[in-house]
Amino acid sequence: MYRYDEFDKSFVAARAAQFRDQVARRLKGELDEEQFRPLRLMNGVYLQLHAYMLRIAIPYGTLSPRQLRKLASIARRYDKGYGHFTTRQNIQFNWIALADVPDILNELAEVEMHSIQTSGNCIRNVTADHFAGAAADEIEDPRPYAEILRQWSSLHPEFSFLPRKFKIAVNGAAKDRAAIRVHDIGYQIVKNEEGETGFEVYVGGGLGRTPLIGHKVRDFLPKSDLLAYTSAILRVYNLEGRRDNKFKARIKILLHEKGAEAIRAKVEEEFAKHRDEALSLPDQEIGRIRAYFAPPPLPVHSLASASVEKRKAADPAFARFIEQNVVAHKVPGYGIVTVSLKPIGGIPGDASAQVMEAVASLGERFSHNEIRVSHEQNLLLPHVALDDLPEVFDHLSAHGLAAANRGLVTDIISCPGLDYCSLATARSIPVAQRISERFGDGARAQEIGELKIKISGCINACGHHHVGHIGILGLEKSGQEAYQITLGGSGDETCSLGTLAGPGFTSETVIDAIEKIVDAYLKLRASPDEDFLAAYRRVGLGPFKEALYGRA
Amino acid sequence: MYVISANRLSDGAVVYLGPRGSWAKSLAAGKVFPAKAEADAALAGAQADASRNLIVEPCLVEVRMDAAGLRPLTLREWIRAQGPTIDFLPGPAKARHGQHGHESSQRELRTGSYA
Repeated sequence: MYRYDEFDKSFVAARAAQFRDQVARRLKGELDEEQFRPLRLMNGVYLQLHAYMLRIAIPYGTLSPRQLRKLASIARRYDKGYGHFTTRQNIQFNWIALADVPDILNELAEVEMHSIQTSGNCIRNVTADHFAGAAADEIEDPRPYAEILRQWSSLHPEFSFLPRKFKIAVNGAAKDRAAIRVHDIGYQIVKNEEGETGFEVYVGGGLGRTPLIGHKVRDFLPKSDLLAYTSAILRVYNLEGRRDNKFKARIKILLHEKGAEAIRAKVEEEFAKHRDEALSLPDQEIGRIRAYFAPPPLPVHSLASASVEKRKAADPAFARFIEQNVVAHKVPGYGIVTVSLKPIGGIPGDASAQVMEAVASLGERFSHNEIRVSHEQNLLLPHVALDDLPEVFDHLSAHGLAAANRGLVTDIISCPGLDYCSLATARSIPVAQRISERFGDGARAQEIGELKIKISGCINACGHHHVGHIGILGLEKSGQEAYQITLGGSGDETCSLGTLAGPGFTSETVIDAIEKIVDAYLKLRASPDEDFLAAYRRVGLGPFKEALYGRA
Repeated sequence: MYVISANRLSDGAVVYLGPRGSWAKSLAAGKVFPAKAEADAALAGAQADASRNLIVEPCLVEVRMDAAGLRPLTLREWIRAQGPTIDFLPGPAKARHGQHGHESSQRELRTGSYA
């Protein structure tokens, strides 16, 4: 993974020192809240319902065990012993004191981490698919490009006061595991006929109160042009994006209002002007960054492990875990292990300090010192030898981390919602917990198969409900929590936005509603191989509407 | 009926304006203003505390009195007063694999009609 050089270290240290001074001046009153707010947001410090929340960047979701242990230590020392992994591969701490943030930033800097640009009207954490550098189906590792974008976008003087936040994602396989089509810019790695690497470029995707799917503006952008083209997009956005209305300020609105073709033409014009200047990326430079992401030395083993097969035959729980949570690695004899942070009835994406330390140990012992965070709020051990799986499974089980539910109905994405968030209109976590308990950890969830439920506690859609196979949006109606259900969303390469099923449900009726939808699916699916999304796309909303409301 | 609430600047904790003008973490310690006009006047005073860098974002919270004491009218303010409605503190690790889900021990799960 990327290692800070002297420039990076002094950059982060300087930023931490600067913020320490800003906090001191705020506490003394030399800065008022209006002056201070944009400064604290640029350092990922939010004021939530109960305390300050600190959002720490985990660049493209890649962590070392040392970093994860530091996060555990911060959880213990400065918070209430836990953290929350987010839908943008970051971590949030919910109980932070402003006065402690400068010390926390110093501790983060010790392990090459920071909270820079995790909020504010700037370029945020560049995310990548969580199987990067490991997956058998990968075209090329997206992380070097994500790292290049990260360095370029950090404290970029021209792009630090954008009309609104800006989110970039990079995906490295044909399967879109990074939801690039609902990002402000999505980069899809492709190879041209000459075998050269480049990107399909999507612009103007996003969720929130106006969900929109990104437009493809380029079939092939040569890799050397990555920064010049990104800069061109940002320049057009910076100039033309709306600043009169916070809710119309994202680039997706610009494309929607001015037309994608018109904006694309402006971007191409800007790009043509500055293409071969300072931002051109020579192969040598890409290679230099790529060297940080060199795959670990993984001696090839046989595709099947005798010890795994033996254990599978004897232990059904282990067999289920292998089937559901372990995915093929590009190197024979290895697997990518998903560590579910969705225990049945648990809080999605939350991890105690103890859990973080347990996963850090597993990363050291079994995954070549690498851990990943997915935007689906789980952790991963990306390089596990199949022969080690029985031992890994036993360790996970001992810590309550062996829920074999990757992608199943209980692998729910949920934002913090009204239990924590000052923007929320309803609670989301209790709904997730109750759905999880309703379906449980047994044969029923397995029978249902892949079903992605995503829950947002307000219209800002941090829970990504628009791209849930089943999406749930929590609102407030006449002082009561009210839940709208959408169906048929997907964040992958077949990207679609969910359709509203009909009138909303109360906190008391929404769980039954979800169960009715699932039961309807089980009845109408063509076979057990037809998953929920495929079935929905085949039959449409009608049968589900009827199941929910007794009428089509 | 109203109380005045805010977040403490140093740590973001929810606080309520007490009878002697200091800020307390407990809703029960909050001074109650029977009429909105009085509450509005007190809020203006609370803005001064914001300028003194004790608190941020002072606001009115409408409350009622019931058998258990003061109670905000909205779920949001109830959560601010009581904390999250979920058992968020880490508990002992439990091995759950292979078991069916059980009823969770959620602290006081409120439905939409929480009042």
